[in-house]
Amino acid sequence: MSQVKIILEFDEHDGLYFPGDTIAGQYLVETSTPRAVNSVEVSVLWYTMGKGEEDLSVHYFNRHSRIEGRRFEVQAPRRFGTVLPNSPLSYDGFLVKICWCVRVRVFMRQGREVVSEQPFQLGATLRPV
Amino acid sequence: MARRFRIYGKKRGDRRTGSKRLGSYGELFFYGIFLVLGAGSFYLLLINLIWPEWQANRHFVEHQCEVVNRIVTPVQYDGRTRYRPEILIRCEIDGQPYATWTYDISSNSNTGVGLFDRAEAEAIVAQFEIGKQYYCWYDPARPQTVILVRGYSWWMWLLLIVPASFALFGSVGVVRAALHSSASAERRASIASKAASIDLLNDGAARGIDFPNIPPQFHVTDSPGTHLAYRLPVDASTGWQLAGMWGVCLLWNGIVVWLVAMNVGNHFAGHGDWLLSAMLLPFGVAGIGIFVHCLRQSRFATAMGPTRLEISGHPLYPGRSYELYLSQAGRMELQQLTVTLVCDEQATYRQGTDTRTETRCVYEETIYARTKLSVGADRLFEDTCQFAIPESAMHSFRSAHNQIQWKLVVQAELSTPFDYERRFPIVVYPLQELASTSDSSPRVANARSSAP
Repeated sequence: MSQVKIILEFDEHDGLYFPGDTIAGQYLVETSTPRAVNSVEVSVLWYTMGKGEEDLSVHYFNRHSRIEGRRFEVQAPRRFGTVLPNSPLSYDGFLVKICWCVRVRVFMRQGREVVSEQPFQLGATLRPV
Repeated sequence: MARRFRIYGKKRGDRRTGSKRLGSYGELFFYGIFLVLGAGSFYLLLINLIWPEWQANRHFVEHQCEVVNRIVTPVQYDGRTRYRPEILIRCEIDGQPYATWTYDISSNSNTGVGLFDRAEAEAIVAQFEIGKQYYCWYDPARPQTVILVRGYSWWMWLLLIVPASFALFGSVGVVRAALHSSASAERRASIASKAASIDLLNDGAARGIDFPNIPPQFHVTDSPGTHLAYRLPVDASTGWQLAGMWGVCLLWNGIVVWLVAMNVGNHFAGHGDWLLSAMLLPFGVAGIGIFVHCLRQSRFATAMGPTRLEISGHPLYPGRSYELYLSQAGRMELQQLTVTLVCDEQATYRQGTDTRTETRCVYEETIYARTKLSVGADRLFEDTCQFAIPESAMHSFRSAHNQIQWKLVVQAELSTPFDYERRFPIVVYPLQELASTSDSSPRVANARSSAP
């Protein structure tokens, strides 16, 4: 089975961002079998954790996929960047937690997926008062 | 080597996750059945009933014919004997003589349409006298298809609703399942987010697009107060609770009264069942109890008089102070009256086939308290107070299954056994930067100052 490694880096830091800040960086897919990669997706998103069902909202999304007759550079470094929204801010509650991250998802042939994500904070993570 | 296809679920924390792929196939199969059944039934209904009737009304050519004979034919349909009116007619179309048994367009179908009770069928054939001339309509493509009666059956169009709803439900489900199995959660969320951001009315601020996942606040700000800027709307859930209680009460007592009436009737008829009567007794007592409880709650709710809260600003921001105006109408002696600022976390999750919602209070502060109050018909209780949202408070948040809700709760302890509670939802936004800037869009600087 082919090994896939995803390298994901932020331009500035991977810690604290504020609404209106720009989060940018680059990602790289390393694999010994590039032809086995069908598509690559990068998203800046938040998701909930905790007792409830997971909710998820994507703020930035980009997809690169193999199209017949076109060159698809799987291993080329790709950039992403977006201005962060006003809300929701990162939160670490009892039943509800809101986590922000940049997620890269690589789709292989035969339905296999490889995912890598880099968390960051939008606003200093708030906790119940 | 990792298994690619897992039939059984894997335990993750306190949840068991099944095979996503198997789930997708199952979902596809489930909705596919609805789609096939719905589309198939729709097609059959259309071809056998709707389309022939439509053609008869729109394309058949008017002509004249002579009635030669008339009979009522018994037909076995669905285990019962039904009757079909049949009229033998004779006519000449384009020089060609035709003789056929007919009545309406459904005469030749085997769908059960066009079948009647014996008396109805006999009444129909009696309308046509042998030897007389009548109008008829024939299919120009097949002149041997002739009918004596035409018109639309509105119930046929209503019948289409059933298969159409099955087909719609199935097709939506199939598309959804196909999308789920072929697209990542992020891609689906991105598509949903783009669709949601289409701002046809240019009211992004009102819909909360500037502050995603914060509940809109227009339901508060569209109601001005008489003492302060805004009058807070009361949470209507208690009213719905009372309506639900009355619904249960009516259903329960309706069933009990019906059973009692039947039983009393049987007793009068001389074949009463005393065991059933004895068994009905506790149900009757419970019914009376529910009715009395509902009546007392309703009396209490109507006698309480409205509680009014007005606030000096909205939305609310962490670290800021606000003035609150409280008024209570009615006629009662209050042991204690408090107003509490509350923040709840609410999570909805599925457990088996049940959907459960868990709520946890994460912040509670009494911002106003008074004891021994008397509220009379001519004496409205009024007071004001100040409160502040804590500086490091989380803003309001709402997504499909998770919520963070801020509210003001008015609680009263009465001298009677009843207490009451009224909740007024409020919306807390992330702290807004006060820097004077030409940029009109609000910029959030939450916790920039308190960041480590």
